[in-house]
Amino acid sequence: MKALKNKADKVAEWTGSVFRTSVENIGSLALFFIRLSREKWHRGMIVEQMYVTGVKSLSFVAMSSVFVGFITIMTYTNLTARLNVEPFIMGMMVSRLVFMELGPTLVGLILAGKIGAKIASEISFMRIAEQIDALTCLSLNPMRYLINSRVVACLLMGPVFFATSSLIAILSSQVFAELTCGVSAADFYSGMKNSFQLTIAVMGIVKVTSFSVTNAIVGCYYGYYASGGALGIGKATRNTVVASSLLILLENIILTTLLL
Amino acid sequence: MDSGKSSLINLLASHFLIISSYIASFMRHTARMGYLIVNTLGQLKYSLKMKAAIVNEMKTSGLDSLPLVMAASAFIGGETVLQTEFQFSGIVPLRYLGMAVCKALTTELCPVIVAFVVSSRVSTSYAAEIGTMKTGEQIDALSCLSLNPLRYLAVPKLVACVIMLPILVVFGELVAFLASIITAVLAIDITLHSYLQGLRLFFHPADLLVGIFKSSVFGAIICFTGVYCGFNTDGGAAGVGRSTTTAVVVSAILILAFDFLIAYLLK
Repeated sequence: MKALKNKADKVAEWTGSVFRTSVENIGSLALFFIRLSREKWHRGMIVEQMYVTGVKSLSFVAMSSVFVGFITIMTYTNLTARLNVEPFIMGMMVSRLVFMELGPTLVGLILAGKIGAKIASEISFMRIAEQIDALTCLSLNPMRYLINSRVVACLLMGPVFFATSSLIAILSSQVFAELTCGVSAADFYSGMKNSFQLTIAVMGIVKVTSFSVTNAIVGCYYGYYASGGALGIGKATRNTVVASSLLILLENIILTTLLL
Repeated sequence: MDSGKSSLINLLASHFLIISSYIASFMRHTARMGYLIVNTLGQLKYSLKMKAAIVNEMKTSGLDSLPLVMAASAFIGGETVLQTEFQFSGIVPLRYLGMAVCKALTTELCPVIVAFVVSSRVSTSYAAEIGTMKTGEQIDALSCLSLNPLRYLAVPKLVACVIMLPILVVFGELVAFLASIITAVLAIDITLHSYLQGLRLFFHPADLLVGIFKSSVFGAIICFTGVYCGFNTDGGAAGVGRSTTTAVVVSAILILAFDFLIAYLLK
């Protein structure tokens, strides 16, 4: 009886501590976001970060978009194998899946690794080597030079990520559909063109931009408050990727409900 | 014009060198990863003696990822219902909504998203742990004591990941289906009965089993990428940070690639 009571106590304690630490983290992240939105911007650093975090991630986005296209076609053929649908429906549904659902989600999760983990490891290394304190001693604002530049760079590169990933995913899905299902390119593209709505494009761009900004902010947050030597860098990177994956999936639902 | 011609050739040659160096490093990494995989599989016969280590790894990488997996799957379940309803609007009757959601979740979405989320947690911690050990020269110390580092470091992690990831995907699919039922009933103009009928329509156990098989392949990918990037760390603390980043990104792309390959081969 006492052992059962101990176990129940432990479960209650664990649940309470999980809720408390997650609420603390959410509040701390929100305060961090407010603080960084009050600082100024530095144009040169923003452009440099757009190259370092944005342009250098484009090759990974392109590679993964090829597979996103293939996966979309496999999902579609699984879905409609037993329904008799016209070929032009394929263009419509595949384009909606790529622009609105699978494209932004998979690209956002890949960018969580590429952008979020990279920013977190850079900034946590700077924090652990005390370079951020050195910047403050030289009366330079680390928020302005380090953090705002990365966040704004990812905000500006959001539409670029959307454009690249969508283009390559649509092309690869069309080629794959032609090879496996025998759907001609004319049917595919005419189905896509006839059913295009502005909602689809707006939702895709807003989703990809908000995912990349989330990755950058969470990476900067965990890097800025890292501590504990080399293990601290690993812990900050891991927490970044986990938290940004969860936040991306949560934002997915919120944006779908708001924009649909 | 003489300097113009040679600068054009210089430009082409420098581009060719960049591309060929990318190809060469890709092949080198593939070869080393193959070496790691074959050597680890050769040490698998000692796994029966390391049950305590395997169970420990199963707890830290599998059991501690369960809350994360359940949260991610809940979001994916709700999201799939909303999106599929938008795509079916007016073209396909809503009684097929359950069928579409069930097929999408069991075959593609749940294994891939759960593998992404677990790899973000597990392969970074493997890469950080083994990278820190390599920076502190502990792996060289293991080989000096004539102990095989792959046997004691990589084999328990491999067995743990391959066993735990299908279990996590099963729990994830349960939570995703529950979340999809809640979303369908609350947010969409469909009755619970017709949604549940749609879930059962054209259901094959083969879809479910293919998803589970896929997820154990994803578990092997997660383990091997984390361990590989950990073993190839160089450069101290910054190198550990770099190798954790590489581990997450490479495992994400390999998960997508193998997802397509397995779906294509098993069609």
